Amino acid sequence: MKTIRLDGGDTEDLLYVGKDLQKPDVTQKVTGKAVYTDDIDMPGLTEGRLLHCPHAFARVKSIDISRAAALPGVLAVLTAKDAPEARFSRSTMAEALPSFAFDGERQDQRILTDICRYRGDCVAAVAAEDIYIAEQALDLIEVEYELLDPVFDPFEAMKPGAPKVHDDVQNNIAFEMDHPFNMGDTKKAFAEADVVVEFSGVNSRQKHLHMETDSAIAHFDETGRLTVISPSQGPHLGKKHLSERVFKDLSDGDIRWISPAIGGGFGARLALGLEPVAVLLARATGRPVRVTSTREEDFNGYSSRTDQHQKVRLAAMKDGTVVGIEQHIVSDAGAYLSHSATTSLVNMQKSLGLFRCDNVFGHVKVVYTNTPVTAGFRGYGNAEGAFVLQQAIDMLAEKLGMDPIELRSKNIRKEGEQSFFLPCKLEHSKLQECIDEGAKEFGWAEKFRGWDRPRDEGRFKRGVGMSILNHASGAGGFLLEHSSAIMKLQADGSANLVISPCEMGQGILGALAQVAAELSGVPYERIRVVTGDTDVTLFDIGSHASRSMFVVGNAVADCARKINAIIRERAVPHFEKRQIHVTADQLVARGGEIYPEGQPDKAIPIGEVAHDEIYNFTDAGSQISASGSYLSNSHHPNHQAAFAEVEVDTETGYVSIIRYLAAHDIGRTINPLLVESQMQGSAVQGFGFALKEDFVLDQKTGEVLNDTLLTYTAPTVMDVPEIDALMIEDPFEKGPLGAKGVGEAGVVNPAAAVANAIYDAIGVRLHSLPMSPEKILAMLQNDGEEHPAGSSHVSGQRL
Amino acid sequence: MKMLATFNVNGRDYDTVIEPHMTLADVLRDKLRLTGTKRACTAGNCGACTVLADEDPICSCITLAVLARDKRIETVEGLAAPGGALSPLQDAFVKNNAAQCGFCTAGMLMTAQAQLRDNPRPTREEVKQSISGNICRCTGYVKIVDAIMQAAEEIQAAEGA
Amino acid sequence: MGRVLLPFAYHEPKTVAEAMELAKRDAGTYIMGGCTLVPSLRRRQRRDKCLISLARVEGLDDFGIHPKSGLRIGAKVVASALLPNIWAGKRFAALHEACEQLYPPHIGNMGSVVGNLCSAVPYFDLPTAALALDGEMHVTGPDGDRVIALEEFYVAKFQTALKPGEIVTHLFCQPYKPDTGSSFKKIYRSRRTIEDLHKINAAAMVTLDEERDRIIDARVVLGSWGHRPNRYRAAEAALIGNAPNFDLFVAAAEAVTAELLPATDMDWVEKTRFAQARVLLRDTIAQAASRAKSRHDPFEDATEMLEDAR
Repeated sequence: MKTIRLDGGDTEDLLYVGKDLQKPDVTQKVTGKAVYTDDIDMPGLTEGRLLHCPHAFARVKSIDISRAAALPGVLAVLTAKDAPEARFSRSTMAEALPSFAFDGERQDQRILTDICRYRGDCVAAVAAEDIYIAEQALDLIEVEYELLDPVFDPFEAMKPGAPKVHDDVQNNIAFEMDHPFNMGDTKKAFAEADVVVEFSGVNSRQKHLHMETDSAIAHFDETGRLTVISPSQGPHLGKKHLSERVFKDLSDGDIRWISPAIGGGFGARLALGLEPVAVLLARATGRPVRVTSTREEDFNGYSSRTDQHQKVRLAAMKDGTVVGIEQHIVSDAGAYLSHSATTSLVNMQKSLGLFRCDNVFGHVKVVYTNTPVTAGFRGYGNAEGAFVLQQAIDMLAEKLGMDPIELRSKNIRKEGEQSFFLPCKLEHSKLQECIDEGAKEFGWAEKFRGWDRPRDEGRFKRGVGMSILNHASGAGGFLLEHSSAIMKLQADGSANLVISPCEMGQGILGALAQVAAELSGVPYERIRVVTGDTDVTLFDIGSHASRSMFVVGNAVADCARKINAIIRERAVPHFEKRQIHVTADQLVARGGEIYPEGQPDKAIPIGEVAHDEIYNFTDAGSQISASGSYLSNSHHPNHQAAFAEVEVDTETGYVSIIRYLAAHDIGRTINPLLVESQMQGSAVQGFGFALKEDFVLDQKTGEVLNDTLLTYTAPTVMDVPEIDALMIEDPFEKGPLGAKGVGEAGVVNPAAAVANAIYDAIGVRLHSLPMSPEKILAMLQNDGEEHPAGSSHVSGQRL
Repeated sequence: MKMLATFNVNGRDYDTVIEPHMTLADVLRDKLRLTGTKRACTAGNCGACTVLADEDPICSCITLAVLARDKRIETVEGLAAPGGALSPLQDAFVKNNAAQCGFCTAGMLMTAQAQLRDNPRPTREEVKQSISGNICRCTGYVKIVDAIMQAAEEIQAAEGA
Repeated sequence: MGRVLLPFAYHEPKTVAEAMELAKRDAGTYIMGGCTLVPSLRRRQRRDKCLISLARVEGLDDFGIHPKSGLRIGAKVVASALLPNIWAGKRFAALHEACEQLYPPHIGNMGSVVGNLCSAVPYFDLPTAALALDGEMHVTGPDGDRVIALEEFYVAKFQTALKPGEIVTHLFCQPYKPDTGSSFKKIYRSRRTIEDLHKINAAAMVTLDEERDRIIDARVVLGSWGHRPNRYRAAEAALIGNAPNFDLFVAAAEAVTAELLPATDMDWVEKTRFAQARVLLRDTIAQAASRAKSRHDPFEDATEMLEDAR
């Protein structure tokens, strides 16, 4: 990884920030000691399993649980009649959304159902003394189904007379709206423009594929209080949602939610998974219950990206000024809405907001079908949008005869201009620098050979492509975007940092502890992070939207600064004792020591002050502690420019990525090792999205065809090309020590940059993801002219 | 059909009661409480459950426990020295941040451990080949390959010294 | 689709006779490594009530690979055992490559070659490779011993010509003729319909004449297309008698695809499947031919000279 510091800040003297420090939970993970939900044992723990409907659309005519219930060791067998009538959404984001977007979070699902809307809908739940008995019990439940006519295609589903997935929804349209920030007059702009392009495309249902399959433990203690243990990305919202929507007899404080080690999230854990059914079973049995799912069940019923069928139109003047942008989205939610409306909205917000333009129109429809439920996935609509928008902007560049870099540079929103996220100014953006430095490092000027160059001779053809993005560092101004942190000092001068982002592997606990160490004066290695328990941590909406570093980081910074001030203030008498007369303002607390400014030789350990505060037998005893909070009122976008070089095998259709470079507008890198890890990991997830990962449903039965890791081809180590990460550093004054978010952005550009590179190599544009060998070959065989029929019906769209 | 079985895991004999339909991963995790080995696909497709059987990496999730009784099994819990000092491979994973969510980590470590015993001076390409059946969703693999290469160097250096 | 397996009875016989006796008594299923059986039991694709492990049966661990005596692999030999064997690599390259490319590589340490062949899973690689090497299954059973050529071995999806109780004791492939090469390759695809398989695999064996400029024998096999791997005799005929060159390999590949039936009714899917099969077959045959040309081993000449001298 290379870092380019724009403000020449090399005179800074930081002890922890900017260093490759080891994250706190890594040793547990390499020794097998990290405890995940499925690793937990507790007295009386029982095992729960779910029975899934094997039909795409069916009504339960009768269900006979008697044989299952009679099996020795079976503690409960529950069906729809035992589940609360209340409808809820698996997405917990409803609790953090403003009212206009809340409609996009239809509460439409029950824990157990007697109308099964997709293969995988849950009809019964079993709890037993052990997993083997639970499995045998499932096998003994007899269900008679009345089959209903299913609908699998969103465009078919909207037609009059199509089967209704939910009785109360007209034409299966679960959500429809114009983008709230539409402006200008696109009709006029398009009519008056010199050049107009249109491109349509659809992404695949990329699976999150967190390695840990879904799992949850629920347990009512002797006082009747509920503890939920599950790999949640947002346990505070989880308990609010669970009490507000599902179990209305519980209130927020009745639930303690613990997130142990999390085996990957990528957005999937923002939704309720098995928690509600675990609670239901725990209630019925009076015992702790763990419910687990299999990989196949995760594939069939658990979430994926929403397939968003999009049409983008761009209008520009001859000089390349973009004067109009239109985006139409039709999203296939699957059987329940979950996050699919909000991801579609976010797609519009990001796609329509990237370029400076006065005439903008966006419209979205989200449609129910009898297919598995889709949800939010890293990038949250942005990756889905970039694939289409970034190809459209390249088409515009080709029509205008401009270099893709030149056209993008001319139109991106610059610092100080109006931001599109909210009616406010774009306070900080180094996107231009990302484009320029990235292009230099990649060698774009030599590698991009112009729009009218001849294609390479022979079987293997090479090409280059690029893509840019804007992403959020938390959805401030839109979501309920605040976080808090607590810090307290132990008698030995070590500290506890109590925070509630969710550590899913991204290393956020380490990065936040680095901020705490830098600003509080307590050394990094002496900060112990406490997290993952809603009884201990303060309210937080969890880890998503690249918010943790920025929003939680600012809360930690606030808290650490307070601690630093308290330490200095309480240290004054200690210096008095030593005949050194100073005020708190003249003291420095740093790296575990306190000293008068400029006199590090006079230092005393922080531990001395911390100890004497607690073990103070006068009337002034206390413990050094503080809490800090931060409320974000803007998205504070981070940006990225990415460049890809690919080689297409024109005989088999296989695409190899030769090199990939992403330049990220990060503000400040808190921990380069962690940041580089995020950049590499997100890029490879993006390569899978671009080229390999296809979630295929049988169009006749709705069956998931690739429900194993053998047939759903996720990237392996053999798919990884040379990846370069370039950090464009320019501390942002509103970020904690200048940092902005980084985790999600990296997954957005790959598909778009690779698509543009494929076009450069073979002159063919692909309209659907993944850009699999078969699609490329089909396009090549047809010389890019005749296009094979695909599943999408958006005008002009193929494959 | 309960049966008493002995398993040799990380050099220690464990007596336990099993049934023939239990997999090795189930017995290691649920009976012996060695939960470092993970079940992720339970189909032999992802490598997360990798343990060594007579020094060869196997998928414990699709191996019937009864078939593993006479094998020397090694799991992630056996990598560190008895006093807790990390092995060179574990240490390299820590230094390179090669574990993110950590769910594939035990399998990666065990697969790499077998490789480094077989081939103490692997090339980068050989390392990639050996972990090509281990799926990681977080890291993008680069740091994992870096870590294994670094561990190989460090083991060599220590033996040379 | 369970998380764990449902209970079954289990036996661990020590002899072939004992195993066959148990199989008859309890209608049991033989298990070796279980790489195919265990996942299908968990997914409830199979519901066997009794398993009979062959792991402790004596006499199923033959392992002999030599250019002069052929390849003989007992039922208990795991696929990775072939990897370090120099003759497997040089003389039975197709099978060696298929073993080497097992996914994930761990499977090679768990699953036996014979078990893999007996699973009759339509997309498996070893059957394709072994068929190109004229493999034959040596079987013992309640009614005595018999030999089943792999070509007759596959009856239907997941179904072989084995009768109840029969045990394959070993796989045997004839020794290579001189100047012979073989190869195996595969291509991964996306599934489009329920009938689709997620890959295509191919294997070939080519024998050249003494001057090494004319093909005198050939095997061309395509697998993961339909329920079993198949030999394509028209393609083999197209190769035999001709000088090995690129155009010939293309013609042979086309002779195979001319016989193939589409697996789906989606035109573009089939077009690309056929195109990929052509490339795969062409390259597999080309590699086998190139090995036939180059893999001539002086060691064999020396052995022959020694024998002549005697």
